[in-house]
Amino acid sequence: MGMDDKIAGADPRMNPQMDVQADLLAATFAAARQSPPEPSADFMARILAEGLAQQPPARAVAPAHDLGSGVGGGVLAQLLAMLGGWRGIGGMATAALTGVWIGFAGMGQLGDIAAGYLGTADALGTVDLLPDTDVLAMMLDQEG
Amino acid sequence: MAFDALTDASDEALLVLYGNGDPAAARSLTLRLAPLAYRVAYRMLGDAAEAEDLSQEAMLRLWRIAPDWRQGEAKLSTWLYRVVTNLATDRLRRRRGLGLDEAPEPEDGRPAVLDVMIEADRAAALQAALDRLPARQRQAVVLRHLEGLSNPEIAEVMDIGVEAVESLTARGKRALAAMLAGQREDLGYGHG
Repeated sequence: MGMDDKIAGADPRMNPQMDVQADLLAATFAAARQSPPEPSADFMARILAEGLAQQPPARAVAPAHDLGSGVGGGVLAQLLAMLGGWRGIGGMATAALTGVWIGFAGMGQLGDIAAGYLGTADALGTVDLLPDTDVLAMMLDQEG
Repeated sequence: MAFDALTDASDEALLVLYGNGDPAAARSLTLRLAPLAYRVAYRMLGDAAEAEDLSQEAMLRLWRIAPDWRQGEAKLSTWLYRVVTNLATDRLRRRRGLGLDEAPEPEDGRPAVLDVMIEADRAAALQAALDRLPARQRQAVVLRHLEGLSNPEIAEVMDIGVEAVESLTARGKRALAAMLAGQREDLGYGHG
């Protein structure tokens, strides 16, 4: 244990008798550390029993919902479980409302919706399939 | 310790787990600390039945302090050493009916040690000698040389300064050495 078992303040060179006493004491300490008093098994059992009796109750944890069983669960509970529980139902409801909104807004608004996703026509760039009318008129004048 | 499943947890963490209702923590704390409490109580009192009674009382205090324990303030073992040695000192004072710190120190080679020594082995001889030490010296010597605590730790347990601890252990050891010197033959040192 790294303890200094020599007698403090004693210089063994000056007092051989104290040296002998110090060695004896150090050996006795070592022997005592090697054979410490051990409690009985009955005592340990009593301590543990008292510890368990004194222990505060475990903190309550809310039980998980059992959607697939129970008298009140029935068909609705099974349906919920099949659709992924309340979270799945929420996703389905969102999708349904989105469809209703698209139907209400109509096709005329799709341009706006597309612009929302793709950007405006200017940003995308345009390709003219016919030359500008001014250029066409000038060509006709030259021929005529 | 076959069923101490929480071997890596500190004593303080185990006490928090115990306070949260974990029964495994109760088992681990019992395995770790009940032997410590009993061992120190026995060293202080020199009687197995009294040591069991005292250490059970100390462990009961430990169970009850769990909900209020604040981590980081102290080591649980230091707290337990303090409780056990203070309870033991109180009992010794009641037993002898006088302030032990005022009790006279034993004389060198006092023959009474031989009389109370039932066994000739060194541990028993030491216990017999310890029983004759004043309580505070006994407390300091037990904590330093049998439990292996440092002087600052002992100072914390005994609520005194480090110099006072050094003084108590030095005086205690001088007295023990003198008492044991007369037992050299019995302790197996007679032919060295």
